[in-house]
Amino acid sequence: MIDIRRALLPASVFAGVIALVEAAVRLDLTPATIAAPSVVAAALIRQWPLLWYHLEPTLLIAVTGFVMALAISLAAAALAYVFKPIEASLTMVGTVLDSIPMIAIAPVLVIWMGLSLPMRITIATIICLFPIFVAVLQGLKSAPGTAEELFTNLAATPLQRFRLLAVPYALPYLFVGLKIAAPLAILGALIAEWTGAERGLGVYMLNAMFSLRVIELWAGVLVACAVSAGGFMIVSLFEKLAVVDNGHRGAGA
Amino acid sequence: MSAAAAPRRRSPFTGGARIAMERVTGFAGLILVIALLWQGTVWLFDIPRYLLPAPPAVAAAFAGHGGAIGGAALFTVVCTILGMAISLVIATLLAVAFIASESLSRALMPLIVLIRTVPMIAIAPLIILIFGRGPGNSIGMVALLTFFQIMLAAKRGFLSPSPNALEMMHTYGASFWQTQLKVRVPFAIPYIFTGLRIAAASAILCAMFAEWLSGAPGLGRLILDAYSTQDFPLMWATVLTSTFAAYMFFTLTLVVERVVLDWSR
Repeated sequence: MIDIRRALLPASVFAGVIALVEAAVRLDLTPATIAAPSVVAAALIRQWPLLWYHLEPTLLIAVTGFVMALAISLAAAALAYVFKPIEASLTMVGTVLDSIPMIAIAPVLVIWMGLSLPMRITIATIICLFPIFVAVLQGLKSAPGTAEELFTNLAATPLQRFRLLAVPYALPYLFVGLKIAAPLAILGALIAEWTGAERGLGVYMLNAMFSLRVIELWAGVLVACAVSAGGFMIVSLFEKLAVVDNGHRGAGA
Repeated sequence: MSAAAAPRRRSPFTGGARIAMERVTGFAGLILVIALLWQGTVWLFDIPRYLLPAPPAVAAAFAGHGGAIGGAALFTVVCTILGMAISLVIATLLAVAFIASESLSRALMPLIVLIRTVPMIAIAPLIILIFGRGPGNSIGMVALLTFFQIMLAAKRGFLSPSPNALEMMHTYGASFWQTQLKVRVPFAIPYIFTGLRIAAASAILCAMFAEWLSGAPGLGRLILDAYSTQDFPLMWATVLTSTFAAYMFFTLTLVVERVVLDWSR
């Protein structure tokens, strides 16, 4: 839970910065590209229907991509857990995929799949894939040697070993990966929309940028930031639930 | 040079050079394997040129547009290095300030952690509006993106010396800066390099993103230009170059880290 007193100081610093920017804009000290916070807030409220219209597809892409990346990572990591020899090659393929710039993948995907919803979801999936995969893989190997030995001594079946030992220990790691991936999913959706779309938060931001509508751009960026921070918080919430459920076993990792 | 002072010791550059060699060879090998598989696939399935140009076409694009690719790569790499250098200086200074003042750290750290959850590329359009469409925009993007990772790593590093070492400095009446230079900085170096390494891989991609949206003459725009003129061999050649650049940038941080560590040992 958030400690009110601990939050007070950063909150007042934040409010102070906002007030400073507001004053600077009012006194005409800032370049034209900095919008007054009050004006941006007003624009957020006034333009909310339009913003929501653009936000909807972005959220859809981000959530679908995130879920698909999770499913693929879990399957691949489980596969690597069962067939140890393929682990190195899977990681290698993942590393190479991850080091290809997304900006390079995007045009190629556009050629292959066209400017379509599946293409955008694929981009969001790819961008989330590696952090989750690495986290799960590391987590599945994180059980301490003594616990491994205990399972060997008790003649646990491979399935029991996986279900009762590897998976509980992997959970905290999984959530580390998910927390990295959640904002990335939003980013992936934005990038996908920058490659060309008629509707989406990324489109809204680019249109505002190209037509120099400073206030709208600030509003769009704020919404993007809020959504990615929100994704992070939702995952953190799930983590709290899962770790309570997991009890003392998760605490060891 | 330390090699002259201690003849039995290796020069600090040998370790770094070996890492660089290994990684470049590994990359070349991987590219070769991929090129062979690629060529095989193109032959086997008779893939049309616009979907996936064959490696020879990409190689020809390299030869034909070498100057353009090289110039674009240079622009991107210089922007990235400048951005990272700026970010490194500011981040380290701020980390020192956080170490010096507990209340400053308490006031700003929660905000920094909050901001860090936002992917910096998402605010690229805003940065382009503020910094304009030239190199300043790429540099600003890279600096912003790498700043948080380096700052947090530096802070963790400055906090890493054992209490014993700090107490000893205190007992001997060392000043704040003496403690900083003699204890905290040496302890922090590996941490800072870890931060740099994490930041390096994403930094160059981030610079390319900035160019992609802003139109500054780097690798990002070259990919986009090649795509819009349907020059797919050139596009793939640029993609390959950018992957190589990102990979080499990561390698560079490994090499520098190795050299610095060998030097200080």
